[in-house]
Amino acid sequence: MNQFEHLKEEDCGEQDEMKEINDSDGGSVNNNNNNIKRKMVTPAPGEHPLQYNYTFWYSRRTPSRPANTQSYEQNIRQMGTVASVEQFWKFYSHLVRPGDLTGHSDFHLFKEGIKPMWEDEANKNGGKWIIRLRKGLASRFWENIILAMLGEQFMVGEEICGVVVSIRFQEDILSIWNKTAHDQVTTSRIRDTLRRVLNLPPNTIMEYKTHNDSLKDNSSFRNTKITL
Amino acid sequence: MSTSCEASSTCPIPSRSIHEKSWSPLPDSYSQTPGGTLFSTTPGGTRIIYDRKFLLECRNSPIARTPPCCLPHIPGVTRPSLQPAEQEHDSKELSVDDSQFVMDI
Repeated sequence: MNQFEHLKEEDCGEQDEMKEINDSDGGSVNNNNNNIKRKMVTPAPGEHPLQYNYTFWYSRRTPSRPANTQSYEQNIRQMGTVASVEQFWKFYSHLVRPGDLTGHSDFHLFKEGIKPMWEDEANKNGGKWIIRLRKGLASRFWENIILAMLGEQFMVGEEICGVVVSIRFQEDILSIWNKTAHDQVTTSRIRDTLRRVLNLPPNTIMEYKTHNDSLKDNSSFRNTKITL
Repeated sequence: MSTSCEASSTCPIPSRSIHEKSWSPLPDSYSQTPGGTLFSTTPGGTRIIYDRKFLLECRNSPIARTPPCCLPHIPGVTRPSLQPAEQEHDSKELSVDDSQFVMDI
């Protein structure tokens, strides 16, 4: 969206805080908030706007049940959308930290309008970098990767779609999704920025996987391309 | 070029009156905020860039601390209210990083 179009929305004047339709039923499978019309979320006066609006999502599943697209879409739900730095902190401060999540859970923070699914229009030609973390690091790394994304540190135009932190049994995984998997200039720049903003040791293994490959083997984190 | 000069009444140089908001969404004090930057990358417009330090500083603003109006209730995931001790714990633990020592992954 053109920067200035986005700014004009501010003039609506009615926004005091983030307003959105949200169900309060605690998350039944069919009414999980993913397809309802959203009200416009804009920065309130005095707040620092973000380059893009972002939506928080949460998903969880029992590992024994294999996921297909339909069940994945039902298991993932939106939690809210933010348009300013202050709105982001409001929201983020009221979520538990990823390190405290139980079970097979994920937090996703994606640009508004992009679902954290391989099949979304924005993702179908895309892929992701993943970094595997030993237990205990997820909360800190999640915070740093989000701040880098919100602060536009990656410098790859419109390419970033979102970031995910995945809590698993013996390790946790950080992912960053971009739109064009074969664009090596972009993917290299993302990789280099990750090293910098996350302060990764030089020999950290980073893996890239196209979403097409994930669709083919129905797996997020297996069979990746490994980069040192 | 005309050699005759006509005396003209003074008038201000015409300019488009630009409503402040169509240029910048930010309050006047924004440009003075340390760390936050507006960065021009392409002829198409500016990109809003914030560094980590600046974003962390915004965390403590009063706006940021009140709960969002429509936070869904997901036990174990969302927390409707922050305990004071918890708030401090959060910001302390996660800001320690600033010294940027290498992590053992």
